[in-house]
Amino acid sequence: MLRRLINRSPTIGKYLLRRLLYSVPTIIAITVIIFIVMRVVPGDLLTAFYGTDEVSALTPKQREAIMDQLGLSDPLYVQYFRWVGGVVTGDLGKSFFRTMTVAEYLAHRAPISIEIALLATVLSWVIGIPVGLISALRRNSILDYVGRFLTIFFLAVPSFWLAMLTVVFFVLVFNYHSAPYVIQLWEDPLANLSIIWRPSIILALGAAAPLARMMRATVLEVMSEDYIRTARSKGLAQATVVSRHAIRNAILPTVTYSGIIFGFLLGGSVAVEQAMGARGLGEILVVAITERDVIVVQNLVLLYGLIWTFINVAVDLTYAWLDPRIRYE
Amino acid sequence: MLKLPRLLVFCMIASLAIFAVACGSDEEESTSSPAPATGAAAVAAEPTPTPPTATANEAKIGEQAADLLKAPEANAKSGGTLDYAWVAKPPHYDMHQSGTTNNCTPQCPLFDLLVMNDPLDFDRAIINGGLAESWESNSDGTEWTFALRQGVKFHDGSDFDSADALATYNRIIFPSENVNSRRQGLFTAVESITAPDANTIKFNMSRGVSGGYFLQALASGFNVIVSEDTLKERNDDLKESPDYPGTGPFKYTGHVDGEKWESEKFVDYWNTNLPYLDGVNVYHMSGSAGAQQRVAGLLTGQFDYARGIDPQSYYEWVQDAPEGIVPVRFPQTTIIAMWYNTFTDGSIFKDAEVRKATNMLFDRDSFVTATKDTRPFFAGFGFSPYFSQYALPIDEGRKRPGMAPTGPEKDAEIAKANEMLAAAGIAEETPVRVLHTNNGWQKVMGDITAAQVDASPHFKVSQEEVEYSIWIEKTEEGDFDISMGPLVYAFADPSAYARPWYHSEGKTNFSKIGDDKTDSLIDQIDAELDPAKRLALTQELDLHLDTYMPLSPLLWEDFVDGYQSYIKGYDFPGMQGLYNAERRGTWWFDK
Repeated sequence: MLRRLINRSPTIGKYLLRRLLYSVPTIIAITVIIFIVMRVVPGDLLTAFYGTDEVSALTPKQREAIMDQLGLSDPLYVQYFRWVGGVVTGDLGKSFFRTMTVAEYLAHRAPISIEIALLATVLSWVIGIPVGLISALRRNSILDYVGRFLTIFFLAVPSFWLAMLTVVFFVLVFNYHSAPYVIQLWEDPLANLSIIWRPSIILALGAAAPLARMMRATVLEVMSEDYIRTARSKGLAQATVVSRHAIRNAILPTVTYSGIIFGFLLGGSVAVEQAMGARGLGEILVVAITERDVIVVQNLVLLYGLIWTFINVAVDLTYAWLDPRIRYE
Repeated sequence: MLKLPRLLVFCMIASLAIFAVACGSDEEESTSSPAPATGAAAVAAEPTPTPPTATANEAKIGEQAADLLKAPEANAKSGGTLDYAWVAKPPHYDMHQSGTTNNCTPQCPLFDLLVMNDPLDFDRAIINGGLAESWESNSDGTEWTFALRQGVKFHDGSDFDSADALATYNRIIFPSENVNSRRQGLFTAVESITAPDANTIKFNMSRGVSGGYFLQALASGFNVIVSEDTLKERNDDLKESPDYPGTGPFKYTGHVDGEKWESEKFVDYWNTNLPYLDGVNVYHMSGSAGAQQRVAGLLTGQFDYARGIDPQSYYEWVQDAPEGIVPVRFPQTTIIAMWYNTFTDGSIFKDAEVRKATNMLFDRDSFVTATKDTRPFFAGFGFSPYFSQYALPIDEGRKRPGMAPTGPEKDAEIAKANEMLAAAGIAEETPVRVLHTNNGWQKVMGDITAAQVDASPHFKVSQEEVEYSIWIEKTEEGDFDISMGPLVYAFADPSAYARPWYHSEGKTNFSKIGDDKTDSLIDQIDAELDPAKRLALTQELDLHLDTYMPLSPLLWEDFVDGYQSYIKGYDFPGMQGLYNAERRGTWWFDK
């Protein structure tokens, strides 16, 4: 795809480089903000680490020694550059509370979140695109109203609340609850699916709603274009007009949005993962914030920042791939 | 024109239908059973925990059980793996350096203690087994000698002997610089430990200590026996070693950080009666979302036992439990208390009458009501936990200063408190700074405390909310007028909390009030060997504290759990002091 793009537009390499360079200040800003935030938010690392009993038993000198051991007594700029330096050299550090390194910890949990986000993105297409298309093509019909009602409904209902209801519903009606620990896809695909399918559907419903509305709006706009009228006047069947001319053009903003959705689902699945007991990156973030495990939070937020940055670049490149008229100068 | 509204109506009906289907099961539940009680009603309907009367139990204190531990039921059978839903993961793996049940829950079953509480004894008074087969003290309690069991094996196949017990207790009582031994303070009387032979260990004391206290201190569930070789091999550092071998009824088989902890039956366990279960898996689920997962897992049969369910489910289940589920409430070893600054120049709380009056301003019942849906508490009185055999009976406790129930009686008590403040010369709107912790329910407690003090015309309150460790620091430094927060104690014995909390040199005597009579009584309680006399001294101290009110006990923390009714072999309703008895060796499945 990249070769095709470069062939189309020789300046794409420069564009890509420029976009990546623009990302650097963004990433630096993320590191600074999360570093500062983790040091001003309330919470007590010592209590989270030792419990109230032990903290009350520690002498002030012992407390100081522990903070020294964790590297939290150094000046802030030393702590910051030590962390950033570690990230640059590939050493994400070690969680205060775990025997795992942060890299191992993320590698263990990330597959669950990625699977959920991927499945939810695919499902959001499967649900959102047909609903939007039908709504547009059957404008002001019962199907359109139902579709629009449902899209507004799922836009309005918070996903985490729906997730909590779903847990209760499955427990009470089907006596079903998913495994409370990570089962990787390669260990047991079915058990893995049992963990990810419900959060994926919940997230997909939330993501499909704006997708359907966007699809409806763009199809309606495209259907009123001159080239559609021309196609019709040539005697083409409605299905052909829609599939060959309308969808191809209408899907462009939808694809852009899908990229954003994937990033959003990856980073925004925290509450749904928590509510449904799926042990992905979301749970790591919540637990790490609670425990004030600053090194985990810093690295995770940085990871989310990187994902968002690269998704934005990838979406821009996808534009060019889908629309030959777009040139990067 | 009519088309749109009609369709909208259709859509609304359709969506309502969807909701009706989704909520159908709830509807059926509520019509086929009594409506769930509100939190307050449920609390009212719940049987009040009744502590044992002290006189009935004093004879048992320190008593040795006659037989090896086993399940109390005659039909106990083996088999099955316990799936146990727990809260957070261990912060590290060194039991001697830990004071949190996040360690004890997964790790305690892997180890034995020198002596241990009988898990089937509600009072935690009887000592049953452990790696000491028998013990004796000299007449004045200055020498304690333990005969060790023979033929005991560690999980790695090595043999246990006195060198291991000696290494363990030297680490606990005389730790190296790198070890923060959390229970070192329980053994201040121990001067030295020796191992005269391979099967004997002896504690030499600087002063006489009672068996009631010393045996309980040894029986703290964290004082696990580890081998001398383990400590040498791992350079005295067990914080990052989840797999160091014990001699307990279950053997570590693996864990995933923050998710689960697995252990299996130790087939060479010295007590051939135990364990009944083939294994124990502990699952970690923290936070409020974790509570939902624990309840969901319990209801679907995914878990056999769920620790720390949400109180609302508990109240509902007390009224009408789902089939096969048993709710249980039991006391934790945590006190929520109020300390007064008596050591800063000009502090109004130097005056005992002011402290006594302020204590009477607190409406304990309103604290209980305010937090009942997030954390259950029991209104606090006296200095012994309400469930302890040393506590005064609840009816008597409720008559003590500050314990009047909400309503006219409390109003009268508050009016009297204000009269006392006026008599003590406290001007109207005297500034008082209330320091408290900022964590969840503790913040709520702090807000209520401040509001109740502020309601007095004599006080004008300002609040300061801080992290727990900062709260400890500020409280130790005296940077407060009134300080409210939680303190955990090792076990429910007066020597475990009287000395640190009330002795003039006590580490957590945050009010820093010295009192000769109190110090003398504490010394006597620590040394008294006769259980009946020790009980009398304890109750004398309890009443003496009312005369100068060094701190105000507000609440004792409770916990609520749920479990499948087929779990047998344990005294669930009487469960207390999680640290000391929860080893699951006697648990079995009746299914």
